[in-house]
Amino acid sequence: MLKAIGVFTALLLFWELFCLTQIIPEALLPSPPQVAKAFIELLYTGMPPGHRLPGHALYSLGRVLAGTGLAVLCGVPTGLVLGSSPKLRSLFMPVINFLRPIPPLAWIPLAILWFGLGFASAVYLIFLGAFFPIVLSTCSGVNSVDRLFVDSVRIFGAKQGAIWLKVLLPGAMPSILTGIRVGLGIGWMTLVAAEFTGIRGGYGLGYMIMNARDLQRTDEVMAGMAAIGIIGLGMEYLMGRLAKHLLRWQ
Amino acid sequence: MAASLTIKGLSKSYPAQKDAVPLLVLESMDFHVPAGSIVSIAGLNGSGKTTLLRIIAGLESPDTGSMLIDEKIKTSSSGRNIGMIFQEVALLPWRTVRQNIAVGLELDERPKTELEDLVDDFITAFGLADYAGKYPKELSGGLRQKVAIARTLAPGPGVVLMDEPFSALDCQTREEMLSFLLKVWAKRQDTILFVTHNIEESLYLSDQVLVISPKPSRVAEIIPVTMPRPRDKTSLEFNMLRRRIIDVLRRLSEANP
Ligand SMILES: Nc1ncnc2c1ncn2[C@@H]1O[C@H](COP(=O)(O)OP(=O)(O)O)[C@@H](O)[C@H]1O
Ligand SMILES: [Mg+2]
Repeated sequence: MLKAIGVFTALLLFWELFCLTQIIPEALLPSPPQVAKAFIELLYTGMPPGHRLPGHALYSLGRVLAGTGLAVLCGVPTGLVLGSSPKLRSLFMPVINFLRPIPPLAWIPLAILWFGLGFASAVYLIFLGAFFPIVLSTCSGVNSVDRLFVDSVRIFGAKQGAIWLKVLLPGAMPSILTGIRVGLGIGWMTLVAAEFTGIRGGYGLGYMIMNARDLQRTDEVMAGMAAIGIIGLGMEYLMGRLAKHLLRWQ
Repeated sequence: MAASLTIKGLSKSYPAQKDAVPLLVLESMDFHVPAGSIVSIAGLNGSGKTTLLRIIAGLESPDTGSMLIDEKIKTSSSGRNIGMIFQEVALLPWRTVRQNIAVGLELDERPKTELEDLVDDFITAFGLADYAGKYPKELSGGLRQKVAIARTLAPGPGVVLMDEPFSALDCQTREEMLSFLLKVWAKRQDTILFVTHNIEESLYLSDQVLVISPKPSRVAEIIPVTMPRPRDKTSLEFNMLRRRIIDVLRRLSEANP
């Protein structure tokens, strides 16, 4: 941990030194203290003025959590069913593998046509980004569950429903959590990009960054990027803690 | 509670792998396990013991043959009221000891209080109180098998199948588990069908030893064991019986190389 902070600090120092050489004009590459100052400005004044950073962050987080939540609700059951039926797998995997490489951003035009410029479009795009990793990891998680565990409850007369709930779901939980983590990360990246391109509602980190760009505030653009990184790091940390708690049996 | 088990004309073959003939594993097996007794099946590795138990448990279906529990024919796999302890420990790793013991009762849809009481009884009787909240990975091999036995017995099965439950344990733990099992059995008088490739184990535990021939398996010889328990493994009678089983097994493997 300390070493990681050391690496981080070293990079900041390097960046600062590089700025001091003035090879790149300040307007294009602000120095770390300038970005920090812009960060504080975003916190207190906001961009556009009055729209402060916490508001932007909350809106973005709300969208990403709604989209990822929806992806979990749909993706985990889908993965459980596909994972336990080779027949359904062979039927649906080609469709999934066809849709999966289409980046969520390529869906933006359709999303805007179907859902307009607001919340629903954003949730839909994030859902698309998070759904496939969650389905695939749930599916492979189910496949990796030892058949012996299934037998050990079948012997007590367990029906398919009980097998899903008591064996396949908990047994696949390590993969499911990995899938959710990956899905959340993709959702987060997708969201901010989507907010650049038109999904906006007055608030949103991507929207905030675009505003800063329009006003030539490179320092606030970079501060906004830092905010995206910090929140991403925070989500990753919380997911790690959650996984550790849920998988304490491992 | 304890039920008798009768197997009649049970055969099973596994379908052919590419360019091979189907593998006949069990051929017309017949035997009877009286209610409340321990019957062992002794046979070499690969002779089809696990297959036999899985069929009786309803986890696999036989090609032919029938099965009677308390003299009544059972066909469907549900309502068999059979418990099984697997060769590899099959405790659910994400459940604590207490939750593992409860799993069969949950599937039985027992009322919550009855379930809790029953689980408590088993935890106390099996000396698992200190481990109730632990996960399987935190337990020794012997303790895991204790939990597996508790989990299997908790719903009160009529017949208990045990597939070499102690073969992965070290000698000393195995001895302890054998006498533990006998102690539990002495109290409850369950019907136990115990599978092993360890002759000493089968003689120590059971009322009858069925020696089975290797592929395809058939019951080659039924050896009653009448010595009073606990049995002395160094006694003359014990060793004469051991000799007899070894001879049968040798004859069988020479006849079927
Ligand atoms: N699912 C299966 N498919 C094909 N062959 C099997 C299967 N299960 C077991 N066998 C074969 O059946 C024989 C008996 O296996 P098993 O019942 O596990 O014997 P044991 O428990 O006595 O060691 C072995 O030769 C094994 O390879
Ligand atoms: Mg076996």
